[in-house]
Amino acid sequence: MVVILAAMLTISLILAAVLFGGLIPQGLPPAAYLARFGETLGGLFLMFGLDDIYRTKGFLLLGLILFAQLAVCTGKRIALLRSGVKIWLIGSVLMHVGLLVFLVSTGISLWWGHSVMVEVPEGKTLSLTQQGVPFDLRLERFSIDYYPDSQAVRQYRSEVVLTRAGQELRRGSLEVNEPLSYAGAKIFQMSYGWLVEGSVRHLPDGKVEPFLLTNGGWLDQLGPDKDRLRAVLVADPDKHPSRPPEVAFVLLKGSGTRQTAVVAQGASVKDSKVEIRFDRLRRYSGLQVKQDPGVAGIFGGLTLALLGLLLRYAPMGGKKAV
Amino acid sequence: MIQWEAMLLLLVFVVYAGATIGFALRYWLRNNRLVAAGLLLLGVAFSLHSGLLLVRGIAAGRLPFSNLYEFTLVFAWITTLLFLCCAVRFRLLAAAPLAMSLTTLLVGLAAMMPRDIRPLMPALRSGWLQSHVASGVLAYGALAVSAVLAVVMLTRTEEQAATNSADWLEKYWRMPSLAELERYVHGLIVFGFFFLSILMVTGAVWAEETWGRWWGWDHKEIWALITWLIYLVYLHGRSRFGWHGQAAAWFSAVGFVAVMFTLFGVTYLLPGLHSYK
Repeated sequence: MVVILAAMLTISLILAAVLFGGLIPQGLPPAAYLARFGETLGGLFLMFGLDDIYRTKGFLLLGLILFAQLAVCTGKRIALLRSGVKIWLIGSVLMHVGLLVFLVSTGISLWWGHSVMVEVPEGKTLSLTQQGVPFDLRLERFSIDYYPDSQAVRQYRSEVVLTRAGQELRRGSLEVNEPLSYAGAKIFQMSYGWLVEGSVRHLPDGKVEPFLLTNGGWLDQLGPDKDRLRAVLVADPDKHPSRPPEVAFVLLKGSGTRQTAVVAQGASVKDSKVEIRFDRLRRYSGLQVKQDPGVAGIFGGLTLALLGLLLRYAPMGGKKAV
Repeated sequence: MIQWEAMLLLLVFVVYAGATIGFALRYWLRNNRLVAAGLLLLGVAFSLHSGLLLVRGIAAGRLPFSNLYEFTLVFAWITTLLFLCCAVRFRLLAAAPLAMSLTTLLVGLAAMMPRDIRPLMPALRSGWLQSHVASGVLAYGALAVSAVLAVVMLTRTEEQAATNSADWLEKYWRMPSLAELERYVHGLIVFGFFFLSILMVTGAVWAEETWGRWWGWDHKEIWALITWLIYLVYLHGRSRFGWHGQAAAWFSAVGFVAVMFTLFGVTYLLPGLHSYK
């Protein structure tokens, strides 16, 4: 009884922590907490890591304590089975074993799980093996399906080739809700967009610096003055396919001055120090490559817990509360 | 579609409201004809409500599961259906004013939401959508009816024995004992908790297939977990520490507040990945 009481206390503390995270926004920049809650309260939130409560050591510790209590409760239920096998008791055991498997698998997922987000242009090969992924990835083609007579996107997909040391391992396609699996890794279709391809020529020495920027992305540390360059598409080519592509370049100089210019495809703009050229737009596919040895255990544990829940309460039949 | 749907929706709302008033007046006037009138109006409203969902599904070419308007309408429909099943099985018609108030409120809220039929975005084009939303409405419906009975438990002042009257309406319009009510509340919470668990598991599997992560501390996920933990504490408290009576009723009521916040509060106040308005 003491263990169950302690477990309920742990669950209540987890509930309180989750409730806190549900009421106080998580993951905002530190300044946002100070502005919203004041120096004192906002400062306390930041000091105790409550701006990211689910990753605090305290929250992880609660998970570990719950695991230990759950293990003890499971042992007690298994011991009860010796005095007589009842369906509701088997259900209770399965439910608790399932939750134990779930918690262990979550730990495996947190500890050994690994994912990489990439934005890969058509025709380009990304070297992922350096990041622990068992293959490199080349995007052969990206396509979008639209609903008939509509600009609404129905589905989008990437056709990819997986390689290792230049050798083709697998060819396949993936789309939203249909990831591609290979060698324990899964590739998910996350997003898509356009990349601005161009170059910056530094006029004093003629040095050319090519760039490939996402829409709204920044190129930092430009030239000796450490200027910053931003590229923003004037119109989304997916929504305005007949309009010639144009990019608005924003150049923030190290001296603090700012210059803006709209440049058409194939054209350039220059001042006394740099010439910025917009060559073309390239389609990219946003992909996630994930290796997670814990996922199978997580879903297996949850399925077992659901089955246990069904057996635990099915004999009640709405009549007898066990 | 939009024009006649608005009219039908208004009609459903008005007839549900009429049924609610009919049932409520029975408390003051103690005339069983009002129960009969309430039942008649409830039958008409429920039939119209069913027709509305059917035609909406035909017009959209799919089950009406893809935005908050459709979910709220199905939620109201399931709540009514489950309440009717309980009312007939356990003779709980006396709780009808409260149950029908909730249904009327849900239909009224749905009437204020955007109703345009939009094509499904790629993330929603999954077989998991149906099982996820179906388990959601079953869970929410059962927890709604449990909350209605819990409020009845918390507000009733005197014990009334079941009557042996020959009038069948009188038999069904009775106030069960607190122990009976508590047993029904518990049964409905168990039913709701099971489907709430399926809701969360199917959501996790689907999120893993779509976004490559089975859990992401999204606002909707956080509040679904809060709701699940509240009922988990209740179920343990009841089975291990005998939390019956008022404690059970309060848990049911507070749990349902969490359900409503997860559905409406999070959607409008804390938007995230699940904000399919």
